[in-house]
Amino acid sequence: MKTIVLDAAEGPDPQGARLRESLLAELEQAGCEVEVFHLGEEEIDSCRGCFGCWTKSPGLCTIDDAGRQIAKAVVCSDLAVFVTPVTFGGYSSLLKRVVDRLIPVIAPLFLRIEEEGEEEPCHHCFPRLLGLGILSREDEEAARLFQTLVRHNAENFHCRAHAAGVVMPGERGMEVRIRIRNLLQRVGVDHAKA
Amino acid sequence: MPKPERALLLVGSPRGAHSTSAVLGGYLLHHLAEAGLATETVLVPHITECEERLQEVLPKLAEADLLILSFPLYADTLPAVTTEFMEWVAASRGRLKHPQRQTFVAIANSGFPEAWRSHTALAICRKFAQEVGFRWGGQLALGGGAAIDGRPLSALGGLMRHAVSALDLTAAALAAGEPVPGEATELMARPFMPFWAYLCLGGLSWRRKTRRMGAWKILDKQPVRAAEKPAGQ
Repeated sequence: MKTIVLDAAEGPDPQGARLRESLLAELEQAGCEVEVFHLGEEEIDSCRGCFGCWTKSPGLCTIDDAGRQIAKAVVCSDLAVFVTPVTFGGYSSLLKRVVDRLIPVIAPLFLRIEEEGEEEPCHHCFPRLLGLGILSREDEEAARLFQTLVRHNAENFHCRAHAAGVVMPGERGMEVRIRIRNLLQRVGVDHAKA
Repeated sequence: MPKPERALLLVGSPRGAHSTSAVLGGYLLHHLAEAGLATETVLVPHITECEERLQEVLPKLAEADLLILSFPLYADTLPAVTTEFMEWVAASRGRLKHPQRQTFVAIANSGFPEAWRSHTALAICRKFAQEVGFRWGGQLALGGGAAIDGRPLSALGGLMRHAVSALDLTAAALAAGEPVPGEATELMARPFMPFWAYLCLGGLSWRRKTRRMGAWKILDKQPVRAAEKPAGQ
């Protein structure tokens, strides 16, 4: 399974390192082909809200930088993994820069699904989505918000499957790894089948 | 809460002064000025471009007793530039003298017909206010914001009458030192046209825009995927 990891957990933070290590070990064990983007090392401009990716060059952002390459890698993958510190219950601005730049992969036209308006995907099979958040302190509300946000992203990007979880401070490496394994199973990655 | 004297509008849209966020926040700010408050507007994308501008805005943030953040929904939450600004405010909170005396209000707008699509983003705003120590003054969420498209509310006739009433009620309450009234929240969230009509007109509007730009015929192309496929397939 082709997997793209968007890593916005910068620095030598032990929680981030533990999560990253566990995630990569689980993906390797499952036989996934993994490409990691360290977002702190990439030059990515923020979305300008020009809608050029819908009206001028549908499917393609008008800003030609790493954000475009990352969007391409995500769309051509089977699984996208967001790794981010949880900021007020949401994504960090570093990850959000990239998520905003994924908007070109959906079309502006609406689909009506269960009485709700949703944007129509122009790339009909968006990858599965796994969101992994890092909390600097125990905060159930922030964890719940993070999971809700990943679910809404998955619905509106029309992902085939999705899951989300957070890592709390003080969690041991094995606990983190088991949690990630369970989340990966929910998006169809099972190393027992590899 | 005490009556505010200074209000600062933070426009959190990458489209800046020409955005729907600026229109909604600007209307509210105008009515607060009429009620006697000193008002000022800061365009968030403009100030996040460099550290110097951020430092310049800090005294304005510290002096205002009413902070209003007006933003669009991008990928189900706040735009990256606005998130970056909020992270910076949270990291600088030690330099805000009395955040507990400052009231924070959030206004969200989205292109989705349903206002509830902004609720997660507004919950994030509330969490931000809590972490910085601001007093939460309430929220407004507008669905179908694409119908405004940066035009003044007065130019839209009766189409936005619920939103106008909601903002009038909000301005009166905030000027009196009260939080956003529940009635205003309900009015702002009320659909201004039937769901089916919004979807139909929204689709037509995007089709017209893509046709004008000459992109209509390639709307269903998948340029990113196509580049991956070997020639001839």
